[in-house]
Amino acid sequence: MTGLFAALTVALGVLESFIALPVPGVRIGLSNVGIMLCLYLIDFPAAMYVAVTKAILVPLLTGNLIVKMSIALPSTLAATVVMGLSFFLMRRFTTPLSIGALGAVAHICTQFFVVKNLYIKADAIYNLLPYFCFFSVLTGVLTGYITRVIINNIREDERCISCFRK
Amino acid sequence: MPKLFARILCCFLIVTLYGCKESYKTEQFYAMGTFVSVTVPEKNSDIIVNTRSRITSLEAAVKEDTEKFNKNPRYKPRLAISELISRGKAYELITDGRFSIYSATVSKLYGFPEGAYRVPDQSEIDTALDNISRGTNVSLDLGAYAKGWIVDEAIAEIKASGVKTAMVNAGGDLYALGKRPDRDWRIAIQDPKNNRDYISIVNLENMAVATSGDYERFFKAQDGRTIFHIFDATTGQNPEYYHSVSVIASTAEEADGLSTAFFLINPAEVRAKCKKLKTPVLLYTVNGSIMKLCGWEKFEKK
Amino acid sequence: MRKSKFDILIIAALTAASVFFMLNVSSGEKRLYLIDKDTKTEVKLEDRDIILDNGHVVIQVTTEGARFLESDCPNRICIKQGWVKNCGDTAVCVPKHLAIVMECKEQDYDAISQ
Repeated sequence: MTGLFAALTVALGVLESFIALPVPGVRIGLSNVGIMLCLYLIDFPAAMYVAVTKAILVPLLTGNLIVKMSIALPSTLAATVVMGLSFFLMRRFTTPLSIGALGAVAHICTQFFVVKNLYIKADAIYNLLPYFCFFSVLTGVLTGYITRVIINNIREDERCISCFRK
Repeated sequence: MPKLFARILCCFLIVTLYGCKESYKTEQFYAMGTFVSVTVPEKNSDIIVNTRSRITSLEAAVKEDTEKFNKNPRYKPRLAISELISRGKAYELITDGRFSIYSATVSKLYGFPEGAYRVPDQSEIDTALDNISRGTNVSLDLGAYAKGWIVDEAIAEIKASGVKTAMVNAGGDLYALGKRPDRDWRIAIQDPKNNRDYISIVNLENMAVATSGDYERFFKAQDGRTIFHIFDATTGQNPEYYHSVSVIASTAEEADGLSTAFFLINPAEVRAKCKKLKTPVLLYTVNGSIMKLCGWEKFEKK
Repeated sequence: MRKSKFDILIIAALTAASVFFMLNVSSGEKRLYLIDKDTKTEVKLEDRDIILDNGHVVIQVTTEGARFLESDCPNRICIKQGWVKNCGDTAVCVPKHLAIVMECKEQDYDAISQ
């Protein structure tokens, strides 16, 4: 089951590298849908597994391997950890909307942190962080919404839920 | 609702802080061969007109009397100017004659202040030096400290009209009267190598600072040397110790005069003299090192 | 799922934080800097092109600001970021570890002695 989600996540990750948004550098983060689904329907370790697979395979498939992977791996992991934490702590109060937003913000913040420490060693790049942070909230809510719709649809079918929990 | 309140409060704070910052009025004009700026509190801005006319009339007086003296050595300058001339003696003593109110006798051979610039023959220089030492056939030029004196006079005028805080800055020779509302006046000393950077910032209250530099007025000689406007009246050559010398003193005239005088003597001599005169000095030497003497650091602390 | 109140709170907080930092721009005297990995050099604002990485990257500088004109990095994000003109503007090219940034510093003195 986890493998299926991993495949879905990687596919979404590759797909979205072809989707250009009008704002430079911003991507929707569709693959996060796969990770969040995992978190909600299976468990945290499975989500981590999917995250690592995604962070390694997507750069492999879209090129510019080392730079992308060195940024994607830590940030995807950080996003997953943040989402996992908020899932466990606030599941009762929240929906995938806010968890997606938190994950996206964690993702972008870690990206900037990595770039600052590995590539461009100047505080100046943090100037851009608020803009990306703002858009990441939007995209995070969007992916969260998609996740919510999917989960709601799946939950309507009791048999489906039971098959995930095996 | 509290959010809105906080926002309004924030706006209000910004406006008042901005207001504080802008409560001074500065007017800039050209005089004494440089840009002069007069800064007074906004509410006293009407005195700028008087200050400006005072500065231009003093400048005219200095110019007229030096010109008349240079045409006719027996000319008796008006009292204020003859007093000013006599104060040049102090700087001559400090520098063992390397400073001279007659050093224009040499510098005009090079074409200063207006050009055309050239390097004179040694024989011309020797004749000029001879004339300076004998006081015959000389050119008087009070440029080394007249600017500072005019700043002091302008400040005296501002003070007399009851204003407690102001600044008069004549091309970097300035006097800071009183304090800003929240702090002392902060003056940056320009980096001789980069006119957008500074090498020190000093806090002044009722103090003057002046800087002399080799980057202000200069020309490139045909042999590649850079020749600037300060000359040793005993050799007829540029002194070669510093790129810039800044002096803090209780009057702008002293700061102005000493910054030129110290330019002509070596750092050890400067150290001894500024100790006696109790005037903090900042030296930027030709090899690029910065020396802070006679308590300069104390003025840097906030 | 009637948990949307808490959701809105979190999303609003994140948005507010990013908007706050977005509006938190500095002002003062502008200085343009070119950052290459860990070296930061000031760039004079004058009309010229800076050619880097053996011609693979071209930065156009004018009296107003600068921008990435050409770059062979995959997504050309740095080019799309456009002009770096105002205080705090930044353009970054991560694959080439290059960035141009307009930094502004408020004058912290009242006059200059020169």
